[in-house]
Amino acid sequence: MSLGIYGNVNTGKSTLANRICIDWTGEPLSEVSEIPHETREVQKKERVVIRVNGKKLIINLLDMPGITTKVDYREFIPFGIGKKKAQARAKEATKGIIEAIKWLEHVDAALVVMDACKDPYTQVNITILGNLEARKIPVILVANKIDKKKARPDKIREAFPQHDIVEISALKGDNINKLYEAIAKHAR
Amino acid sequence: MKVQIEFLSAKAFNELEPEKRINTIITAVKKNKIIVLEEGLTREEERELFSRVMKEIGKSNRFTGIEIASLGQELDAFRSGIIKMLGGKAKGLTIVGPEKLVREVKRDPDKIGFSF
Repeated sequence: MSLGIYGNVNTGKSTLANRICIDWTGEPLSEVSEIPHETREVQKKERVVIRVNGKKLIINLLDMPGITTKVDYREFIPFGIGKKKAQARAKEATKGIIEAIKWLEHVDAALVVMDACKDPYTQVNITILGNLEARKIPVILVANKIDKKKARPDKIREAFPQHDIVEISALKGDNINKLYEAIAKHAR
Repeated sequence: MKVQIEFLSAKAFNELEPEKRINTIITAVKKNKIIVLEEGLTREEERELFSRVMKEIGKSNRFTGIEIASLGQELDAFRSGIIKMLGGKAKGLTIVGPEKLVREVKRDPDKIGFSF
């Protein structure tokens, strides 16, 4: 089963991918940083074996670049990246986003990760979910960053009441077992 | 900065070839126009638009993308296609503008607000 990790930029997708990979393979998958678009190519880990409640799942995990409708190289410059490198990074980011969008047709299931500190009702989230729903691809919404004081996972529940939602902190590992149970429940 | 808003009727938009629909939006936005579609894009068209926007950003450092919000468009391409074939109108409305012009988009299921 291929499991795609989708979401907007900087919602903690790679942190979650690393959490899953470290828990079940002992090795991380992706680079993580505070700079937007750190993941600019689809990162893949094949045959991750997850065992939940006596069920064994073999997953090809896909950590997707964050989907957005805008990329400006100037947003990288405050992080100490020079203009030319920032422009190259922006170009790579756009290619990664196109790749992530293409994969929407090919994943068997998806985790759509949202930052619980931010407004979830964005067009990017709506479009990602709409496309997955149109293809009847099972979706679990992940309300991430619940360890932060400002987190409001209830806002995600309000915005998308039709979906199963798991509240986690990918960074701290809070509720991560609930997520594994949800993945096992939705596995086809 | 002057803000120019262009309204596109469902009839005019649907008469365009599918590829030209996305081109029309991109062309307008690159001319710093806000484009309002009387009939909202389907989720598949939005996805196609996102991809095209990324290709355009990749071509030029000047174009930095779009802000987009759709309202009341809950039908997939198949169902909205059938409605259109039967002479009906799929629901919804889509607003697209250049990212550098739109400061903020606020939205809920019933309302969209663009700040400049």
